[in-house]
Amino acid sequence: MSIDRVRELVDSVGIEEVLHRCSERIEENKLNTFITTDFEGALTRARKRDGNGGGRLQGVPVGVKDNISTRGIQTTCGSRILTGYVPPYDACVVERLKAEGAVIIGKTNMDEFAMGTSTETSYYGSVRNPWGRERVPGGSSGGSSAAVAGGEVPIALGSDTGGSVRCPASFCGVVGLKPTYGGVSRYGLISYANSLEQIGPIATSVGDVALLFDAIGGYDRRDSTSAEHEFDTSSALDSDVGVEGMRIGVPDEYFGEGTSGAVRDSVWNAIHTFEDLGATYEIVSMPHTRYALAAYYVIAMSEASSNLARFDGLRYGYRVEEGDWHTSFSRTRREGFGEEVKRRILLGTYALSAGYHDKYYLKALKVRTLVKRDFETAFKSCDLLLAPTMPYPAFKLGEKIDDPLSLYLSDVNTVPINLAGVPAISLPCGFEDDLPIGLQLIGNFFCEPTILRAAHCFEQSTDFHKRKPGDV
Amino acid sequence: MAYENRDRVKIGLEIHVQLNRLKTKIFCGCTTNYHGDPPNTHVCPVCLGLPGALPVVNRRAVEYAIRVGLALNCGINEHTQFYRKNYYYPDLPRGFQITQYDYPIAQQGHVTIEGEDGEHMVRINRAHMEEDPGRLVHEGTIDRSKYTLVDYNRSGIPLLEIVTEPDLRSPKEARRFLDKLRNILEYLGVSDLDLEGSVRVDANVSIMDGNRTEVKNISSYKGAEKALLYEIVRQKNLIRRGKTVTQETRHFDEAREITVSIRTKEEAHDYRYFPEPDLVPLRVRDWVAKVKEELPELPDARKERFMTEYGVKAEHAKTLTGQLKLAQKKQ
Ligand SMILES: [Zn+2]
Repeated sequence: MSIDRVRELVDSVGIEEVLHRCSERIEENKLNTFITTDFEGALTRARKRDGNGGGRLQGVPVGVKDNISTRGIQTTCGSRILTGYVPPYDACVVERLKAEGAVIIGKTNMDEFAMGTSTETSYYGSVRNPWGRERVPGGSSGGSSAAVAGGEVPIALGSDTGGSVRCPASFCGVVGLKPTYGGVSRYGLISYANSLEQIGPIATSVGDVALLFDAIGGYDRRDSTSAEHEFDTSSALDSDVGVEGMRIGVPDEYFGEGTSGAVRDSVWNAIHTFEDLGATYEIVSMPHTRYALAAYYVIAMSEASSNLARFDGLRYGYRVEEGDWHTSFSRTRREGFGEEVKRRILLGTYALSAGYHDKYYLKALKVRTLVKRDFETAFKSCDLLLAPTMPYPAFKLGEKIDDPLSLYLSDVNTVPINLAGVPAISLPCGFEDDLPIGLQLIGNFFCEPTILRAAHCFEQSTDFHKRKPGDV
Repeated sequence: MAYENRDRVKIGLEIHVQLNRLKTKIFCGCTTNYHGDPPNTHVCPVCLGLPGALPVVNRRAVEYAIRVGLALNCGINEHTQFYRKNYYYPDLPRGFQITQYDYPIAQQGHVTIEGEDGEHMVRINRAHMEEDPGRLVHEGTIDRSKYTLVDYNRSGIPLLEIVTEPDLRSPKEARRFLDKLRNILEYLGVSDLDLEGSVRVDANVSIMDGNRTEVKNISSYKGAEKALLYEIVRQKNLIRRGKTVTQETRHFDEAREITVSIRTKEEAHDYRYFPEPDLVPLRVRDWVAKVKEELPELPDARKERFMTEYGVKAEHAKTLTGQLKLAQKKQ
């Protein structure tokens, strides 16, 4: 459902009825998309704002990923260790959503601490994909994407450390944007890997994603990595400006061995659609892509090992009281963290430790520079890059969860973007066995307007986004 | 006559100074004026290390650090960066301390003191910024208390750690260095040194080119001399008995005036330093000129001036400038 349609509904049937329908849809769907819902609070907050509205998201229900701090609403990161933690403050993006009149109805399910590609590592249970209940929704923002795809909320926020917005957007047939690093304030986003992640919007259309990005993006002095950049997203969707003359780069390395035939075909069809619209394309080479995955995991795990040190049960969240402080915090962490989180903390601690720091962490940083250089080179001759978001459509629940390496490998096309810090959007471009396929458009630093415009043009010329789960 | 230093005593000092004349903490807007207030009343998501809260560098704290760096004749790095020092302790709300490692704010300076044999130059290795952790509070005494409480009012107080080279040759020189430093800090107006916990000193001590020990928890200037005297005698006695000094960290027990071993080299921490990803490197080159302008006249310069302008004898000039209040009166 679109933002416009929901706003009409709010005007015609009232906010209470709209919230009631959201709640009903969540009940009916049983996708396990939300860890916490707060319809009572949502109604109170919406009513308080009645009359003084005027925000672009007035009365629009929104789902917020459970690693984004919400004052007064439990925020767990999908982990047992944060059960019962209620932040005393709002993340910057939450403040901005509220300022636009949006109504936060709850916190969406996710891989524990955003560590996963399938939303199966959540302490609160797996999320199901509305396109096939036995399929994963992708991850780690699986709850947000499935909730939007399942018609539970028109818009949601996710976070993308190595593909966590784009992967579930691709698997759930919705649109998701990973902004330029520094484009959206991270203040209040519970860190997994600070140097890589960004909060990103998820919606059913490029226009809604653009609007949501416009609402949450921009400089925030509380985040030192936030950029003082003014995005001009409004003109990006101007229908008069198309993709005529746009130069598209197609990186060869993004169509690796594991790419399914249908994904390859759908993405090539998309390239031809852009050609028909007046764009040109060339095959480009990004030679360091094959080292990106390893570098990404070393950096992400190293940062995570330090970020997650604060969870000791002393000040908030889950706590085992036993013996002295050492015993108590060890037990708290042993019981509070899941397997995947422990694996990443251990590997990250190892990569940063004396004697290994240079061999792993420092080397990964060097690779990161090379990957970034690949993008800089490519953007000398291209306006944007185009590739599959994921090598295949949604896999089955349980299919890969016991094989971490195969799960990590599925991030091969998304992680280089986070290493470089450039923006990328995923949108529907086809189906394989009635499961959505995602197209990824990658832009240069702060070129969100370019990829939004291209994505919008593609959406206007195709029907993939019109198909809903359940239609056959 | 040149000082002989027969036991080849080498002392290096690490001095933590609270920049408590700043109004706000180093990474958040909470007040630094917490003394005497109820516990956990000057805290916010940032200095409590709540999930998602991000640090922002207090620009004035950096200016104060530059001020001290300049006064210690240090070079100021054009780019300075913060790092994470990872270790677990209940007073550390994030499980790591935000400090500096490579690219500290100030490096390679020197301070001249009245040494054993006249003027003696003590090289400064570095001065770096960091955050103070919280404070553990025990009910009654530490060994009787059934539980420990944590007060985070102190968490995030801006600290400057000043590290000297091992150029001090006796406890007396160490004390003189600390007196001189205190004098400079008073003149700079960056720290109220009378406040409890405003200065903490660790000392590295070796004799006869043997292994060095690190003596921690020296909280007073008087304590420094006592701790060093004890530690040197202890090392001498070991060597006299044909033993070697173990490289280790020792704790100064102020009440008993002795040092006790707390950690050997094998048990040394691996702090897994890496650049703080939430703080971008600071380009401070352009700030230095402004700080230089604001720099007050320092004790050495004032001493010179008292001697030339007022014809005060060297000995008197030293006494007069040795204390800021006296020097101000004289003016
Ligand atoms: Zn604070």
